[in-house]
This record gives sequence, C-alpha cells and structure tokens, in this order.
Amino acid sequence: MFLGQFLFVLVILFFIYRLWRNFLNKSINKVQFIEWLVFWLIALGIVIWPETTSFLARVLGIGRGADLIIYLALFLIFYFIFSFTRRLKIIEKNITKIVQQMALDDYKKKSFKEKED
Amino acid sequence: MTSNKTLKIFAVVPAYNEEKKIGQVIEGLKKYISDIIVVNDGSLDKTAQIAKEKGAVLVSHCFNLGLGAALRTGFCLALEKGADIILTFDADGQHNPDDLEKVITPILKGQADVVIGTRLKGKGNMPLSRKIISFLASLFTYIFYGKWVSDSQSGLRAFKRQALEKIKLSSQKMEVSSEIIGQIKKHNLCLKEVPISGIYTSYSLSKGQKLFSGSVRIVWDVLISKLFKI
Repeated sequence: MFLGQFLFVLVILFFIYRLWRNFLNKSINKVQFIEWLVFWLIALGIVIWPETTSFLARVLGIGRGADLIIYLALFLIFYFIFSFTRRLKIIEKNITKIVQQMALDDYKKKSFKEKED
Repeated sequence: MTSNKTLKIFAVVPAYNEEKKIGQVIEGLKKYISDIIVVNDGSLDKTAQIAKEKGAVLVSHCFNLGLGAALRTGFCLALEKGADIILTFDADGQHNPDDLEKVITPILKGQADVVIGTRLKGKGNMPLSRKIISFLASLFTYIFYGKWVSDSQSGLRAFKRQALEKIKLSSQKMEVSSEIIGQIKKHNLCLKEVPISGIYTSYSLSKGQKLFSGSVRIVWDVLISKLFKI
C-alpha cells in the first residue's frame, strides 16, 4: 500500500468514526447512517483496490477507472444538490407557515386588546 | 361603489419597504373600499406605521417571506373576516384605484369567478422591458400550467369568495401569480381579463421585477415548485 493510499484510508476511517458517533448521538437517522456508510465503504474499497474501478469502467464501457470515479462524483454532487434543495424548500415552507400563523395570532391579539380598551 | 353596501369587499395589499407609496395607495383605495388589509412582509422602514395611521387592517410578518406568502396571509384574514369579494392591489402605486370598479363588476354581474386586470390592453406607459417580462412570464405560465393569460403577473385581481376558497397556493415569492393561473385552470374557474391602466414611475419600476433576473427567477421558482411538488 502506498503512503497516499494509507492516508486516504485513515481519512475515510475517521469519517466513518464520525458517522458512527453522529448515529449514536441521534444526529442522523438509521437511513442516513446506512446511506453514508455505504458511500464511505465504497470509497474505502476504491482506495484499497483501485483496479476495481478499471474493471467496472470496462464493464460499463466508460474506458478508464479514473473517468468512472469522476462520473460517479458528478452524479453524487447532483444528487446531493437535488436533495438539499428539496430539504431547503421544505424548511422554507415550514418557516413560512409558522411566521404566517404568528402574524395572524398577533393581529387577533392586538385587535382583541383594542376592543377591550 | 354601490355594491359595497351589500357585499363585503376586501383589498389585500402586500407591502415590503413601501413607506414612500403605501399611504397614497391606501388613500386611493379608501375612496372605493373601506376594508383594506395591508400585509407588511417584514418591512424595515415605516410601512407598517403608515398603514396603521391610514386606517388599514395591518398584519405583519416578522421577516420578509415573499409575495406569495404575503398574499396567502392576506387571503386567510380576508376570508376569516367574511369577505365576499377579495381584491389584490400592489403597494408600489402602479395601479390606478379608479380601475377597481372594472375588476369587480364582472364578479358582481356573475360573469366571472376571478378577474385579472391586464396592463397590456389598457392605457398607460408600460415600458418595453415590462412588456417583455410580462410576455415571457405569461408564456412560461402557459407552458407550465396550460392556460394563456395576457398579463399573468398583474397585481390587480378580484376573486369571488367561493373561488378563493378553492384556490390552494403554496408559492413563496413572485411565482405565485403563475400558480394562481394554474389553480384557476385546475378548478375550472371562470376567468375574465379586463383592461386596466398601469402607472409607471421611476419608483414603481425600481421596485418591480428586473428584465433578466425577474424572468429567470420566476421560471426557476415555478420549475422548483413543479419538480418537488412542495
């Protein structure tokens, strides 16, 4: 194993350790934990056995293993952008509902107070 | 307006940082309508204070949410207050209050469920950039929602209560105007367009949508809301 590979393995093991800690702290749910674990295990496999990407690239007709990694990385980036945008929209929608309800409640409180006065 | 005596007509005015015009807009509306709801959408200036002083019903968002959210809050309050006809009116002074009668009359006569005032067919000095934005927005509205309206982004509209109760909006920002058209089509509501005059000053032009960013923003927001169905 080359020094570079060894460093990558250490970094990935550190991320898996952080992932495990987040799961134990309940910062992430089971599905998210499995998603990320699969991702890091694939990354670990690619670092330890880089020739597997060449084999997969040949099977998929892409050519080089390095190209396959770039395509996969692009696909993952798009997936995460899509996923984050969706989550952001849901959060935005929930915040909007809260602010609207607060505004209407505040109006009702004020008009009730004015009537009492 | 004679109809005011029998029917409750409410105007919903979404406003964000409109201290320069909001007073004038409320004064203009008061000539025809007594129930005016100003939705202060997180303004950082004196918009809320002026609206209150002028006698409008004021409901305030604690921070800026966007046109769509402001309209939904206003609609919700107007329906709660028992409105029979609900109008929307821009706070930047680009609409002429004398046009109110034109948008209300088709509803009173039972000729429409929703009326949209179209600035393209009426008198006024609508700049070319605005005409382009309006056309592009209407085109995209047609592509995404399947209904052609000549001025889909017009802020002067009138809704019959029963129609507004059916319309379910979820848009946050400017794309709400297109979503309204989509809902009109979805619920098979009778829509009528009437010509209105637009008042374009350097102020109202500076407040409105920009040619490129405005059009792109509307298209992007419509795409996102269609894609995620949120």
